[in-house]
Amino acid sequence: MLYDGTLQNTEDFLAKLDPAIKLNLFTFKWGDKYGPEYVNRLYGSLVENVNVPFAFTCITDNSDGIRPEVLLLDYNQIGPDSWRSYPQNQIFTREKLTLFDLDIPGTKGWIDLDVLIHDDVTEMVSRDFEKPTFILNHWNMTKENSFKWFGKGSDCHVNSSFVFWQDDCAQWLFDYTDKHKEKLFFTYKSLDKYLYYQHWRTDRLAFWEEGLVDNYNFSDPPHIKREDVKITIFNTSHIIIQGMDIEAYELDETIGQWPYSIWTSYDKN
Amino acid sequence: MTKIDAWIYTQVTTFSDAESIAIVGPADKRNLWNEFSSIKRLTVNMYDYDPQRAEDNIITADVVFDIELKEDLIINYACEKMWPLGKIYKGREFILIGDNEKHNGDCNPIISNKMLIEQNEITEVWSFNEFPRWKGKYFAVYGCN
Repeated sequence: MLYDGTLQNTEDFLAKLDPAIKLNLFTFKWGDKYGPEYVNRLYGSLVENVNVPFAFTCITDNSDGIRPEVLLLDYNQIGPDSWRSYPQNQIFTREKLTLFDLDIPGTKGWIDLDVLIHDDVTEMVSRDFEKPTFILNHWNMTKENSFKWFGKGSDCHVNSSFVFWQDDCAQWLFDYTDKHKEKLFFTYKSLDKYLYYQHWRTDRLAFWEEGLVDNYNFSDPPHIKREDVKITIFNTSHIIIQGMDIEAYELDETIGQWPYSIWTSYDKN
Repeated sequence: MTKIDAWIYTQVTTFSDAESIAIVGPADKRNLWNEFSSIKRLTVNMYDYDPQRAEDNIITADVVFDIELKEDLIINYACEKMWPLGKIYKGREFILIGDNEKHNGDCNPIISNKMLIEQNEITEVWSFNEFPRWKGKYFAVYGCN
């Protein structure tokens, strides 16, 4: 099915979802950090690497350039009004959690735009999820002193770039966040830190097994393609924020390196 | 004993009516717990959410989100890292310590004693102080709400 680029509100979007589709995938694009090619290539990567029927929705404030196979949901209308009153730097990307509150049966997942899926993930996305399932930063956790600063609040070994859940198994996480929003938004600058300090610490989350997901910029050694890895993430925001001296690349900056040819190949799907 | 611990010790032993004390965020400091535990009238509990600090005398919990403190006096060593406890707990004594160094992980850098008083809705201030830190200051308030 092809769409005309109109941003839908949540109510209309839910009413039009195909009930025969049991796998609903989402991504977010707001602001101008990433262009529409990120959305289009992510969709292409899913066509290539997910061999069960799925729907793919982009939650965005600008649908220009997004391919017509992608459903569109209005970024400015999702989630509770009360959440939008908090500045963006309080639980940055908290919008993701509002997906847990959408009444959509079946399996759901969100995938960040700076994620490269480069192998078949059908088995991963077809599991029975009893808990919302996140990325654990295995590449950092074995490093010396990786938990040294936990008590200072500056650790973080959870990543929310590729997250799956089933039916209402993650509703509690939306409800908890909404109930404690004033304290949580005050305390945590990023979603990953919130998840790490509140829900990893208390064993409420599930995680992909070690070896399925890699970090292009942080694994040791960085920038290599590892056998059996299916998903590679390219997050650089905290490198910039913390002024870290690390040679780091976004996907579109990997020209001449192995991710770029795979990423751009997804234009054809 | 550090200057801050000595100041806290003086406030508690001189002015406080508390029979139970919660020490929040003690990290590896044990001086105060040792001193207060030796005073017969006092029950003293330490709280730290970092499992690396876990030991017999520490309750591993986040005092904002996990549990409810019952103690008469709450000594918070880490006001710069959390939601003001005085907004949660009323009718208690507080000794509030926070710094202005703005470390990674500080959601609430403390820039004055006034800030500690206002955030924690302290209605009676019994004493206050400031102590030098590496790059900044500790602010310290003793009072109740």
